[in-house]
Amino acid sequence: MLSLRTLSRTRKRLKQKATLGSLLVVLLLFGLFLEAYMHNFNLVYIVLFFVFALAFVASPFGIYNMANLTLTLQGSDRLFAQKRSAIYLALANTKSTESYALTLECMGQSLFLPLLQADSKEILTLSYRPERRGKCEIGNCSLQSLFPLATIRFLLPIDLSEHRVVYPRPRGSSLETFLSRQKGHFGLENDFEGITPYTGDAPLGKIHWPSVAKGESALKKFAHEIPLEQLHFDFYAAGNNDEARLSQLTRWILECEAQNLDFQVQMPHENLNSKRMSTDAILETLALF
Amino acid sequence: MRYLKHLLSSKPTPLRTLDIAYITTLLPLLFFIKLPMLFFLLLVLLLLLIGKKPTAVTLFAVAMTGTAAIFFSLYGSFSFAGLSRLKLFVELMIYLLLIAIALQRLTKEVNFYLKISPLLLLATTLFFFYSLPMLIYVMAEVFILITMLVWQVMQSDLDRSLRVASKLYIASLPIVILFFIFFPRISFEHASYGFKGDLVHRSGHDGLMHLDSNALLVPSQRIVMEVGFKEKIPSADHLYFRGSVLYQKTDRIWRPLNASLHPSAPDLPKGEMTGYKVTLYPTNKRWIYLLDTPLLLPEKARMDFHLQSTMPEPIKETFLYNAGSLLQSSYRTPLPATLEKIALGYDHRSDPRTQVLANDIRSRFNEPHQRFEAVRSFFRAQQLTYTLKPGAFDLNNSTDSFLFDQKEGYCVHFAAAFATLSRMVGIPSRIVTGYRPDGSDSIGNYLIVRESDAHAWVEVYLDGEWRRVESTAFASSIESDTDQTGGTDGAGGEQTRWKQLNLYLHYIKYQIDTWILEYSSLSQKKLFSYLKTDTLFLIKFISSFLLLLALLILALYLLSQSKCRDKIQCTLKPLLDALEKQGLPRHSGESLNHYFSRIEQAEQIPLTAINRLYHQLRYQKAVRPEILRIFQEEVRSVKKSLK
Repeated sequence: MLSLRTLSRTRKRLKQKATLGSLLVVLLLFGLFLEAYMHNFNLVYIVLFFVFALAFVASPFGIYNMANLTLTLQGSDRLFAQKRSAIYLALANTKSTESYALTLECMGQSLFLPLLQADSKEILTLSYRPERRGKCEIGNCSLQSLFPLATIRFLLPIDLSEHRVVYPRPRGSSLETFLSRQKGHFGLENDFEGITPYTGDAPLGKIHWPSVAKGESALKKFAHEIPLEQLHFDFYAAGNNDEARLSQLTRWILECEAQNLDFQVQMPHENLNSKRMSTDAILETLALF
Repeated sequence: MRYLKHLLSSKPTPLRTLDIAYITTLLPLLFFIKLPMLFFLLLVLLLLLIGKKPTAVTLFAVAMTGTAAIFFSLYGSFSFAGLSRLKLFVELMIYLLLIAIALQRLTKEVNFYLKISPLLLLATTLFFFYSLPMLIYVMAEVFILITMLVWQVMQSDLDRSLRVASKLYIASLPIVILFFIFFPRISFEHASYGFKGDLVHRSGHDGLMHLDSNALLVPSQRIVMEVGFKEKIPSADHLYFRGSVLYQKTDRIWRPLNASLHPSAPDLPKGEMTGYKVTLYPTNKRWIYLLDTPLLLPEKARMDFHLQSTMPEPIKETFLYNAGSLLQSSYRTPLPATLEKIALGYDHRSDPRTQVLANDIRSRFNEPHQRFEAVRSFFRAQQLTYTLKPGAFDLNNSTDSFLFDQKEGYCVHFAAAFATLSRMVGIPSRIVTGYRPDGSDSIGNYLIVRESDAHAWVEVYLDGEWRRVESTAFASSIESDTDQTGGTDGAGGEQTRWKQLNLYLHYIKYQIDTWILEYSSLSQKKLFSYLKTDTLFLIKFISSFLLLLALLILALYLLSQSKCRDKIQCTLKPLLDALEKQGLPRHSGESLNHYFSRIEQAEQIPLTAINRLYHQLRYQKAVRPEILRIFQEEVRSVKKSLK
């Protein structure tokens, strides 16, 4: 049941804004009042009082609908500048009654939730596209509702006060291209880079058949199998300006991570080594450069 | 049923909610709008059913048809001067509104105008209908409109929206009641709009008294009036509601005198007045019925020398009036010579045997008192029978026929014979017709008067005063076809359960009429004065309101309980609650399987079967229906063992 304490506490947290429906209620009250007063029409009086009473009780109903709602940031995908990523928010209703017609306004996104069950939690996914790298704040979210009669917009501001790092936009040439250029080899990116002695457990596709024809056991060696000391990214060599360099480095790092390769990034004042730091820590350093 | 289930679980669309709102608000208007407009609405409905988006040409044609429908609907009654009459003006507004709604609805585009139209229709409907059914309909209409609005806002299933709308409705009721009672009113009279024709009906009392087959016998149970007494209801021998007073008998009909003969009321003595409020239903006649002897009349009513109370115009709609009377059976007044002559007149060519009898009485007794007693004694001695189905009378000698041949009849025959014989013996007399309820149709201070209570009695002029004589009281027996005692006519008698229920319903209706539909500044002042002066009334008033409030809070509480939508979960919930009560709560995130196993090991509560059945019901594809029953029984038995 509706508790006055909950109601009062929630009312303090809420902002209430009149809608077009409120104006309609006022006009309707005025019109019905004239109609009722002119000829003492008790039926019109009853409708008039109903309109007033409903508009009046709609407020506590709307407030209670927004009571005990909490929004927390559950996490997000990696955020990259100018790239759409998902942010996960948990909306919890800790009261024993359902909440209806909630709209989450967050990060310029709007999400409508018709029903939130009593004592339950709903995970909401917001799609977010940050404009630039660096720190970004996930805050200024709000829960809104027109429940029950659309005469008042109930607005519950929620300050998540969460910061996330937006990594540079991954852009530029691929890791293979980088390796090709670095080693000065010719040919296509997927050509092998040389031969290496047969180890006995290599797949057939890697056997260097011309060597076998010569009576030697040799395997093809590919670019991505090049050892760590060869994956050394230099900040200044990665591009023409800082943003391009950071974007390029981000792309290579992500590709290295995907291929499970260790690497080093030589920044102007520090050396980032994937053996000592996590990929996220390296990307964060780039993002905050 | 399936359709209802589907509707309850369905999501709203703006057009669907609007259509329901339109149907709700249009329904009462269908009884009012003229035939051409109805045809126009039918046409629009057909176009909507076809479902195609209309072209500009179609819309233009619809607009033209609507205009033509307005023209034919108002043809003959319309003039620009007539617009000053509110009814015609509102009617025109409704027609224009309907055309606008039709055009917009056909485009299937929901705009602000379309959204507010149901409210406009509701507001205009109230100009035309003012009755108890409309009150009930308006209450329902408000509920349906809120439900539609809530449904649209919630975008949830209708079932949930109905619960929310019910809660809103219930929560708003105390405010509506308080405002209705205490909101300051001004006392304007009600405007008279709407339909009246079908309310006019034949009253048991028609101002005349027929002795032939048109006699005053209307065994209908239709209500003529409802009377609310300020104090308790007077005893049955005082319940004579006076209508017309008849002096002359011509063509087998007793008739009143020409009104212009004695227009002014006599000087009546002052005394303790009994006050009452009457709701008189349309009779299409000018009489209003007041208890003998009337003192206080409603505004515009007039009373003549014979104490007949009339309104200037026939009563064509329900008329409410306050009145007051002295409860006495006689009143003193001089009898003008012209009137005395009329009151002694009779047809010397008819009823020879009665004339012989009268001559005999006249020769034996000189004093009017003695003659009156002789007439009374004769009536008693004749062993007359009161019956609603008397045999055929000789209409040319009706008194002879009644007194000497048939010896049976009802109030009309008793009154006519008594008045005739009295006149023949030289006592001025007249017949009064009206209503005489026996008081059985009553609750508290509320009394119903029906057509079957129509009655006729006699007044004789003795010692300078008119005295009432209940002529049917001389009946020595009452036949079983009449189920009413005390000399009144019509059906009545044993109060069956149905009759009692009917009476209570009428009482409720009367109270609603009095306290809701007819609540005015006067009623408000009266209520305030009671509240200020009568402590007991104040306590009753506050207690009633608090009781109502408590009931509404209870209803709100019950509606707030979330409805169980999962049968398996709902079966299990009482058991889980019981276990929690015993200090064995389920840990957060703990699976049910783990929980049941843990509890069984620790507390030796047999939960294996429930656990198995639950998972079988939950996850097995095809489960026999009896599994659920076994599961329910198992849960019940374990829960019982916990106690």
